[in-house]
Amino acid sequence: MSLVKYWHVAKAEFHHELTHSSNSIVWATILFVIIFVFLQIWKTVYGTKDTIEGFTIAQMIWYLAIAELNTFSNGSHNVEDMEKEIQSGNFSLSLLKPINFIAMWMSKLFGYATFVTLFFGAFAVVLAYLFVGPIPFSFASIPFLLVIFAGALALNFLFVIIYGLSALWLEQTHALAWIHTKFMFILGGMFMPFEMYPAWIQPILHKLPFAFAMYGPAKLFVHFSVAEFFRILLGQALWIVALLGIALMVYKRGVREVSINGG
Amino acid sequence: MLGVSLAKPLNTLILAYRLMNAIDVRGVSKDFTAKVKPPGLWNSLKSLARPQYKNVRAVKNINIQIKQGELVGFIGPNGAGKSTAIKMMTGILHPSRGKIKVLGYNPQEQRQDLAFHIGAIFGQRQQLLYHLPAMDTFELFAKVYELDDGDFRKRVGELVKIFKIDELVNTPVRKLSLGQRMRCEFVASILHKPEVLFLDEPTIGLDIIAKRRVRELVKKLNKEENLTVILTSHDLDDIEELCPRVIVINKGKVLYDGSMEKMRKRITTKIVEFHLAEQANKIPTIPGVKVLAHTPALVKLEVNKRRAPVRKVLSAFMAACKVADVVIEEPPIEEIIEKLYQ
Repeated sequence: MSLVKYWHVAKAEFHHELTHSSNSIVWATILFVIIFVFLQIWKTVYGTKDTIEGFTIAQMIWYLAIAELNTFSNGSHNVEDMEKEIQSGNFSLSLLKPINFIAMWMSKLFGYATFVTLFFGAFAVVLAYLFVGPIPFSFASIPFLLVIFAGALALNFLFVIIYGLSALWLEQTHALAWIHTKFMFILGGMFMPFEMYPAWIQPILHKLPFAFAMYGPAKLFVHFSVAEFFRILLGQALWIVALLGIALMVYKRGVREVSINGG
Repeated sequence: MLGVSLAKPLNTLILAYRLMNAIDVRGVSKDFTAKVKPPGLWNSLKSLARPQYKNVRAVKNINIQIKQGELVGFIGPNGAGKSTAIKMMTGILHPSRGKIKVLGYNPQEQRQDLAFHIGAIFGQRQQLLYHLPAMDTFELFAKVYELDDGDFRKRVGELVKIFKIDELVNTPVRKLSLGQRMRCEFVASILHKPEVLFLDEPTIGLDIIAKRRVRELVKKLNKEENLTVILTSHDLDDIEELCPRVIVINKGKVLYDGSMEKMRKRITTKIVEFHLAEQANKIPTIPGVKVLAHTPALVKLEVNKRRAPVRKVLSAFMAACKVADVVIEEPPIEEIIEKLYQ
């Protein structure tokens, strides 16, 4: 079976997003407000200090801008789309296509995230630059960062697929998506890097999948090291395998559930 | 070498099988488990703590054989098992017992292989990308079905002409009417030249003109492409106009499998409604005619065609009452089924 079709699914989703890009202006405004508020809070926290836990205020704002970009591109609202697809019965039509359901959704989410990253990524970089100026950054790190960002997206998408497929059992999935978002805020390090957390919890947080989807990529952006790149890559690979296994299991059970309880 | 020498007879065998039966359903049953919850708040709370389930047999030991190129209508009331039967044929649902072969494939085990050869339209469910023109979905589906680019262009050109959608394919789907969208849905479902097309309530929600258009198109595809069509519909007119063969399903059982012509002969009643311009105090009494309703503005009758020809009933009422309008209908499908098997 040809794999090219998945590329075209991603392309179609990118195109679909592009057609209602006017919504993006509203989201860009929200991104501006969030980064502006973070800047004001951290200015107060830093006071006269140059660094806190190894982060300058400029690095902190860049970290938060990248983490926020990750939140925008993680596709969590697609949980609702998947829920609609399942509950409207369109799921049956998807099953009648010569395409792998999970790979199809991964491709769709990739198309969506590409649009968001191109649009909001540029905006987040401009905002961080305007607010705090540049930080030391090596352009040679870009290929490594792209690999880690792709890994983070894959982790996020697998969460979306697992929560979305739970619509086969649950009437509403947004509670799961809501809890996941809060986990990302707190356990993923979206509000602040793990270095600011109590020492006892840091080793635990570093091992959770949320760290490899949020904290890891943002930290690598502001403090790049090859050793850290490989550590995050390994963690992402392990969690991708685990979540993919769960997604496949949920899908198989779900298809059986459709069969048991009706289409 | 051996592979080559075996491939030819094997393909011939598959072809011969398809000529015999495009669809072969033998002894198929389907059981579902359904949650049981009596009404009321207290029962809802009890159900949370101790949910109860019952076993529902949606399809009971059905046997259906359909030849390539046949146009077959499935009729039956809501919950009769029509959609369940179709979903088992497409591989979405697994039969609890029995065997199904579609074009020589086992739909459950070879769902993705079979998907290249079948198409489906399920009621008002949508597969077109909502914000994009239909042509974008067609192009995506060409990739999904792994169509050669040249073949796709040729095919889409033909279908656009047949379905008269040349002015619609470049308009975002969200701006199309239901009838226009349905025509585009049809094209999306048959781009890959399926050999079997499953249509589950394809005319639901469509106006009369759009319904007629859909029926013409189904006929045309069946004739020109030897497409096997399985159609379920609440609308007896759809079935009557399209399907020489009809299968009646009720309570999961096949009650009738035969020609439409024979079935029509077994339907002996018509419903006739007279909308009155003036109140009629006395209405004609005709043997074989049962009055279902009589209000100042309306007289509704059930006419037994064998005992009282509709023409005779119309003449008698026209002479006796001031009639503003007349509506002649088939009895509801549930009644037909009931009468067929009394």
